[in-house]
Amino acid sequence: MIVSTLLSALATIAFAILNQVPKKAIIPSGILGIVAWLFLNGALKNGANVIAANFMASLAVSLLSEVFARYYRMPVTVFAVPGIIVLVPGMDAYFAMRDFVTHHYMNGMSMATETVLIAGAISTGLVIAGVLMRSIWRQRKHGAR
Amino acid sequence: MDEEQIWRLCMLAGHQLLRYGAETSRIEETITHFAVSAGVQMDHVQCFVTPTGIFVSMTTPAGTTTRLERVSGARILDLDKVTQINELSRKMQRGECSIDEALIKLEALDHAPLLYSRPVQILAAALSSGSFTIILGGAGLDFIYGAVGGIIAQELTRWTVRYVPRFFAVLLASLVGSLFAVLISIVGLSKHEGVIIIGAILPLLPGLAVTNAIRDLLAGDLLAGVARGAEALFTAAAIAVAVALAISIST
Repeated sequence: MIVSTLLSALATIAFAILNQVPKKAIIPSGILGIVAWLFLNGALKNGANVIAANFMASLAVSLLSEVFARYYRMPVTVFAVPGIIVLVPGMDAYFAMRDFVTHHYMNGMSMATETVLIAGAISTGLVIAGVLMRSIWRQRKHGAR
Repeated sequence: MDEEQIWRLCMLAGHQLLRYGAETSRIEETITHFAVSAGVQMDHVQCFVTPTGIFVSMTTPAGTTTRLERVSGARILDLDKVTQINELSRKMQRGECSIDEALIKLEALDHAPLLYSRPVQILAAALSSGSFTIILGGAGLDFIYGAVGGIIAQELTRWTVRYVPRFFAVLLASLVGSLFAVLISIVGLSKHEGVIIIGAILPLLPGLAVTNAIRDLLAGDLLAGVARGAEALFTAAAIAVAVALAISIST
């Protein structure tokens, strides 16, 4: 568990470097990787549905990315893009493709559907965090006026 | 106020932001900020950005002019430069930097080397793919195989993306990366073919395209959002087809 948590931080940081993020953003993106992994596995261990678990982890990562973006004065994408990479349902997609190739179309369809739903859950997390931060930010701007 | 200078500043900033992977609303805002801090009135600048072109219209004492800049060619993901241009526009807004200084800075940025050199990027590709193989359930030496697959996929994408749109480049790269993993399992070096394939190609997934598409749609930039969403879907489909092709060889 500790090893995989550290590895998810490492993977996130390495992916951030592939996207050429500013040097100051490297440590925060490692933190995002750990947050994503802990939320996902924490939710799964407590019996949450896999789609709900991905949604919660994505929401946590997206909200934290928005906070980091304001704090470091950088675009949100700098943090959100590496942050969600740990959640991507790669193995589900692989099993779906393997089932299709071996003519197990029904199994393949159910795996593919799950993959799409997880991807949808991750995007929903991003959307909700964006909407929340937008409304808070706009209110503050109006309040200052 | 030198109009030609303002135009160059706005177009250069917009062109760079688009190529380096900024969100559409950020590009439009930044162009407007540059123009306003250069002395154009706020409601006299109109700006419309799509993933392949920038339209800017400005009204100055000399009249109204609209210009179009076509943006084509390879996209280079570089969030560091996006951040730097963003900072530059903020600085100019606060009056800490003149038009000339901003132009010099932007031109320098255009020719500046990437923040992380080629060897660092190869190492990053290896570490991210290797780590993913273990996270997804691989063991021991799978880290090395995943890392090699990741380097192959990443470098191949970097090479082909110069000649074809990104999803074709990704199709080819993920096909070769997956074939490498299939080869490893056929030779008998590892039993975890799946985790090596996914580890190797996970960094190719269109994370930035998806995030940008969502943020564009949220900001109301429907055209750009849909176009970027389509790019993300095509890329994901290309990867899925490549993986299916590779594993159909092994089964």
